Amino acid sequence: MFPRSRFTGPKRAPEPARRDTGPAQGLPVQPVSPAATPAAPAARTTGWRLFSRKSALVALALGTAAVLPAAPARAALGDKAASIELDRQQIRATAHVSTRSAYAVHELRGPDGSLVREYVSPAGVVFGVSWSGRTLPDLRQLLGLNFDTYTGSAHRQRGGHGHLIVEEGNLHVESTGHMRAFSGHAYLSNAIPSGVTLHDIQ
Amino acid sequence: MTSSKSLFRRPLRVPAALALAVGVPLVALLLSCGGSSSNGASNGGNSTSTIAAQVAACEAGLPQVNTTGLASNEASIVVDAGPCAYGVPYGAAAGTADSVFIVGSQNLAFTNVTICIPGTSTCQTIDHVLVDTGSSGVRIMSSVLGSSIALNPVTAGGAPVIECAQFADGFTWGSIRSADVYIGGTANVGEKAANIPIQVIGDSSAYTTPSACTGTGSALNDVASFGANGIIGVGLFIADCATDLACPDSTFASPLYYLCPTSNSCASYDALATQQVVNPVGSFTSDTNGVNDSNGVVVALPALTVPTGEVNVYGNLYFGVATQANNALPVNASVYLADAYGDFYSSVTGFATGSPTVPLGGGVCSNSFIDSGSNGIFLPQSVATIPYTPQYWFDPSSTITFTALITGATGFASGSQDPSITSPSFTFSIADATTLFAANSQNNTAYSSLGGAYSTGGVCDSATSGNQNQNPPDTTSGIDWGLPFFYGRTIVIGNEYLGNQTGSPPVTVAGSTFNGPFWAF
Repeated sequence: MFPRSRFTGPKRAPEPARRDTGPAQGLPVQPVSPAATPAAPAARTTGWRLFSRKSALVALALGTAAVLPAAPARAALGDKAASIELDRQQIRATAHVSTRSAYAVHELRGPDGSLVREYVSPAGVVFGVSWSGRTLPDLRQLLGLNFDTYTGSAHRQRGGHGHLIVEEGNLHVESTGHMRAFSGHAYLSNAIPSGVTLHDIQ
Repeated sequence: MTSSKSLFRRPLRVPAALALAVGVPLVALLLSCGGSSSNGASNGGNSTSTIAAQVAACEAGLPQVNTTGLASNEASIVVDAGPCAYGVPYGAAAGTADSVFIVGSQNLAFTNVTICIPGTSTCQTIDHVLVDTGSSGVRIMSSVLGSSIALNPVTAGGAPVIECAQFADGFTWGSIRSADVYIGGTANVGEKAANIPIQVIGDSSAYTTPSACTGTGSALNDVASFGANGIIGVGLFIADCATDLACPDSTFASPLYYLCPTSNSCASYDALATQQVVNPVGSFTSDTNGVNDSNGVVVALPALTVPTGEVNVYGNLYFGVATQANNALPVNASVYLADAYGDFYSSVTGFATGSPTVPLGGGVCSNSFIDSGSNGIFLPQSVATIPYTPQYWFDPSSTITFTALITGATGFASGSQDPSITSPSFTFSIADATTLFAANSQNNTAYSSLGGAYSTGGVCDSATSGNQNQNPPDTTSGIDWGLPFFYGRTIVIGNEYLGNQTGSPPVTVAGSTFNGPFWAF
């Protein structure tokens, strides 16, 4: 008499793995210059003053965050790297940037010990974020415009209350864990630079 | 892309004057917001009472746990399709009409919990409360609490304390209220936690949910979205935030507790130890023989015999660890410590004889945990390369049986046991989830071989040596041993013992003292 809710997907032909590496999107792999790593607001202002017109134009051509004239109101995933500063302020975090061959990682450590990592492509776009901590982060802040897609998607696997995967278009979000230990990550598959594997986002 | 509003309905707005009144029977309010018939078709002509009657009729047909013939520290649990709900099923497509339906749980265990006004016999027994070893505390949907269960709110300076409790799949927003909680035994009065803070989910829609809370994910404020009439968190920790300490909400990016002086002014609040939602087990009072069962629980579910799943599976939840004959550690069980975050180590080592094989990645997953609130075994992609559906359920062409090891964590609590003991090799199986879900005309609810992909980007590479008690665990890799791990096992959950709390005494077995948090099996 009463229908049971049941949402399971159609069977997909078995394959060894859906993704071992990120899809090649043709993004140029460029060496990450110091200018490509976003600076704190004060440093950014200094940067404007120090840049010659020519160097600023070069930096803009590279899509670097340090010289972006305006930052979005909030958010990171899919936005320019400058938006990470907004996340840092919101989390009240200390930031650490490390550079890999094909991307840069911005680590934001919150006062509660929580950790957010944001992965920036050579084109200056945040293509992935990850988090871990005693509570969940403000995912609306970290996912930006993708947050509503995350919460509104019907394409999801809920494994009880301890596990959730949402995949909607190019957006992939995983949220796992339990009280006192949550973790997860999200990425935009069409923004992952060549040479970067999903295992790099952790 | 679908509309964000279609799947996770916002908490239904309740007139402020009503919501402010304690104990408003929100079931009536909930059911008044749009009509429906049981077949899911929109039918705006149905009255509130008709829908309520439909929910009641639906609930009357559900499997119920045993309530007689139980020891005082024993509760019956059932793995079934879950409670009845009115609204939109979790994950339904955009535009799905409200309806009365069974939530359709798979591999989740439920029990009865009795909620009383403290110090009175004004009580209500709630069925289909989710048994969760991955959280701490009792949380009940306001929509299922009757109007007579008028629980006093926990307040500070006259303002209510409201919680944004967080789960991996979303949050619950509701006030903290004081209740006597009974569970187990004949008529469900076997164990009592007196006057403890519980969360009443969905009773606080008059208070604007802070953006830091809504930013943690989807709202799970009704039975339809949460999938249960409530949840009883009996996992490892005494409080849901900080045992015996104030919850450091002001340091959290997404606070758990808020103080709400007015409807639109909720601010993060460092809830005191006495204001936090607590694991009811840690508050159990001693029985007339002086036996105190507050140091943990034992979950016992039978082995499943049908590979494609079974319909309803009954088991038991015992309270106390090694305090009575029925909650002793199983013969040959070992104790595996959890770290300060409720995790330990796991690794997949190979395959059972005769099993199909897949590529293994090796490594040790340091953020692993046992969680009855997870409905499958979730493996990091880096551990084993198994085909999976678009919903990330594993769907190998034939069932794979793995071998695995579990190693206890170190560094949080101390006891006389070896802090880093490694289990004997054990096996678990992963079957084609699509086949499982389709079997028996989709009537099955319990599957011993259901699993899914986890942490696509995570890598299990942590060494088992050294102190895992880092703050916090910084990798995203772990194995989530959900309910399939419980079938055919007796799983012991030893509550944390920090040496300075009155409840949750250490477990003593054969002369050895074991300080929680730990699992034993």
